[in-house]
Amino acid sequence: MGKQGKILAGYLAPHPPHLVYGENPPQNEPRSQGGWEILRWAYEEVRAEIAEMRPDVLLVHATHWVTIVGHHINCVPRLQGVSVEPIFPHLLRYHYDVTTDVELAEAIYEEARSDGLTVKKMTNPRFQLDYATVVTLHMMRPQWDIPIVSISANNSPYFKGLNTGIAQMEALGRATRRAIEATGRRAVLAASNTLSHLHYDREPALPEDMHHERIYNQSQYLWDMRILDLMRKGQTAEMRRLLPQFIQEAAAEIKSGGFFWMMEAMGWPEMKADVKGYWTVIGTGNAVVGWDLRKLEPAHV
Amino acid sequence: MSEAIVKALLVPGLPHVLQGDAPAWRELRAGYERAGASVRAARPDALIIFSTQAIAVLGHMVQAFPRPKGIRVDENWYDFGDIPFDFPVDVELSTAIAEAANAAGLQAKLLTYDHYPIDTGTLVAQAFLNPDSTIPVSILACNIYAGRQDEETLGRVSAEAAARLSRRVAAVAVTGLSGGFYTTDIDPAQDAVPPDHDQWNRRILDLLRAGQTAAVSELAPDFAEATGADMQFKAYYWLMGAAGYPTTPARVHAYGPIWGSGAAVVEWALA
Repeated sequence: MGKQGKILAGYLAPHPPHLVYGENPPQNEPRSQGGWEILRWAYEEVRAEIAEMRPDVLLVHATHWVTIVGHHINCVPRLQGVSVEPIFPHLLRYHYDVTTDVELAEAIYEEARSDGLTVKKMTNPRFQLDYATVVTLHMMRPQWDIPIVSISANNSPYFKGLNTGIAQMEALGRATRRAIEATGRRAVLAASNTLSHLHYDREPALPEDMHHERIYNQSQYLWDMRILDLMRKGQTAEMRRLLPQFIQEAAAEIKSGGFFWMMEAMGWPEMKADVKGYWTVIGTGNAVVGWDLRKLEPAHV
Repeated sequence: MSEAIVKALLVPGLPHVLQGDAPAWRELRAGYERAGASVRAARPDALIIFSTQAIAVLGHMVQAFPRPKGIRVDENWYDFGDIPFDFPVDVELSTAIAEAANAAGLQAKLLTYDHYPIDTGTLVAQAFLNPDSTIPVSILACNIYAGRQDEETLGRVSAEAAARLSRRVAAVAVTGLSGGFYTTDIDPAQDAVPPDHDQWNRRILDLLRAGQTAAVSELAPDFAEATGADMQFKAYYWLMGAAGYPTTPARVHAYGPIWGSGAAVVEWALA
């Protein structure tokens, strides 16, 4: 029997295309003058940690791959294409070439199915990666040299009610953890979500004009800080208790499920999270936050 | 009513009708084919398509890339097959619509990018109404936050822009009716709209058959609330803004379920 796999770390890893646009990487066609540096510098810390951890696989719950019938798992060995962001095509036209950890993807499928979840394998090689997956994974590992698994955001939190949706996502998280352990993978998870999600409906002529960038309202800001403060203090159970209210009152994007999926897979660790940066993008609250589970291992205690 | 709009249509945009074998989907397909023949017989210069599956968040977006070409793989319904596309866009009309929208106080942008992901709804409509892609199109996205007034304005300025260019166009709203999707796999032969949603859908369609288009707009918020209607049924506001709330009876070519949601093919002959 091979070595048991484990989750090395999990990241709250938001996906505004503005972050890739502000960075001007060679994969992206549009050019900018920069912008949103605080978030981009936060991601630089994530990149350094991933380089140091050297995980076998990066897993992302894909907020903008929204599915109606169950949870879909990308099982295509290699996907190549151009991700033109449908809402911000002037910011993100990104050339990607990504390898999937198909063995792990299929293991998650089997585990989820055995738990009674509706789950599907996506095997169409012409499928286009959603921009949340592209942005989050670029910001975490722009070399794209680590295989990935991308999982759709089933819309059950919106369609069946929040509690039912959360239960679905947490079941998916447990299935994901078991699959990682069974396949021996050293894995890093990413919940591709913003925090508060009310935003402006007009864009400045220069998208990266930071003069216009501010939180949508004070209520959102207070909510974001309340949640982040609980994260940094390691009061995970209290944070978890507040999340439904946070979603309701701040239109938090974590409703789409990825954060519940990730935290459940990691066992909702009562540990201090590393809040690497917070700023707004078109008025939404975005934070890059890490939970390095290696710190819970005996050698680190 | 703008004389530029020779046809107005409200049609579904889910790929099940392209090749799905369920009896209900076949019926919708047959209705869609009849509507397509009617549109082509009117020989419009262009189609203006407003699709609820083309999403906008910041303002409004109008497709202006001259010739989108590619293969669409729907993120939900990829089992129903790839959808190849290659069609001309009426760039002049798209530009005129965007300019008119901005002049009316809306924020509208042109989409001028190769590889832009053309939405499934637009392509399903194209497959039936414009199968040879001989009619240039202009495609409008659906802003998820826009309300009735903005959508009606966008519809009105779409028609006015067509009139200024002397285009005879068909205005096409790609939208579902009730939105009660099954969330598990089903036997397509058993596909059905839940009874309470079915009652609402039929009420809406009966009013359209009776020419009471304004009454449907008044009912739309309740309809959306009760049935989870596709994008709050706002595509209807856009269509009526373009068509000028015709009082002539609509022709309902087909009505039925698509995976539990409601779908109808409805046509107004305006010329």
